[in-house]
Amino acid sequence: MEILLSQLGDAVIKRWRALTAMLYFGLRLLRVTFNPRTYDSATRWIIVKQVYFTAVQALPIFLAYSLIISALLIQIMVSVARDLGLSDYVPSLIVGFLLTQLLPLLSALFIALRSGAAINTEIALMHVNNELAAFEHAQIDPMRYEFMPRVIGGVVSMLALTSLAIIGALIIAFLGIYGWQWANWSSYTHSMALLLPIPLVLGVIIKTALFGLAVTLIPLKTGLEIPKRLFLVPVAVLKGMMRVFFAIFLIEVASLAFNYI
Amino acid sequence: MIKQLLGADIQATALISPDLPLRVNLTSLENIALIAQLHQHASWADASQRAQQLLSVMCADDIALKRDEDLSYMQRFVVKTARAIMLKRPLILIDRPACLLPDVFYPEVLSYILSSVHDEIPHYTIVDYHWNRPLYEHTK
Repeated sequence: MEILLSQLGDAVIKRWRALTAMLYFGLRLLRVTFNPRTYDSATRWIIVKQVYFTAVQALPIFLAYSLIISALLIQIMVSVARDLGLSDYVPSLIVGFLLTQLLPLLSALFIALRSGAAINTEIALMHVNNELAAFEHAQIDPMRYEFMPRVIGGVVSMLALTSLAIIGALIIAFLGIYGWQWANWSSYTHSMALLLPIPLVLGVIIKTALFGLAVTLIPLKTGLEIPKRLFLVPVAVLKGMMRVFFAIFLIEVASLAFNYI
Repeated sequence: MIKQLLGADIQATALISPDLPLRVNLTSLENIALIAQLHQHASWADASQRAQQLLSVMCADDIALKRDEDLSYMQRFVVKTARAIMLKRPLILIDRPACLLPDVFYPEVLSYILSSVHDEIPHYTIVDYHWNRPLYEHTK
């Protein structure tokens, strides 16, 4: 029993330390982010590149993925609601389930798997290959030049891709409910506007930004934590991706609890 | 060891060392220009022009767009030298040149590269083990 308690205590302390280290890293990053002197030509260029790699390059596949899922789910909702005589509730269901919960979550998973894993691997390799030491020798702050642009790029891309997925889903929802009868467009937009009050939209924006932070900040920090051994890079990626998964889960649960409890 | 040799002046020294690799996802030109962009707040156009000039002086124009893994030892050494010059520090230290240039007769290559950047590095001193003295006889 004592051994079990001691192991449990060790595990809790280890995770607590990892969490505080992550928060401290996040705070340092925020300080660099909000310093206007950070944004010179090199940093701006890296941010643009990050947005390009995370959002623009992934756009066709992401749009196809989000539109197919939205179309399928909307079609299921419309047909089930029609069978049950609950067609009036379809727009609320689309907003409450698809737009505010599922699409931001799917976008976060998409970016985590595509860019989060890449960031984790790249930073771990940079760390192992001494590239960060070379930066430090040149008195270049990696926080400013390597880490912060990735986080900003991730958050901006996350917000942009989620917005596009939501806009696409809104158009598909119209087609699913009314078909090609564009005369109903104004009443549809009016009813959707009523279902999407500003506090709800702000909540979705905050949640999406937190997802963006989680899928970039956690892989960055985890990539830096390993000892400088090449064979430990896959371990860093595995650890980072598990942490990202739990962070996404926690943010989603917190958001659901905040909205519905 | 380097810190012991230089004492407190490590910050005033630009190192060219096998322990300080190039950034692998940047081109040679970007690796050099980055220093000017971040330290001298140069625009990309100015910084890349200066980086290209340094490469040209060392007869390495053609490697500007190559990344680390596509460079030969000598080309990598040229990029590291240009990066060190870009730092504009009073002293440039070439750490273990034989490790940096393992596939060439490094005293000759060093002599050639250092003479090509004579405007940037007017004086240099070679410190090596005494048993390597014969390697430098050809330069006398």
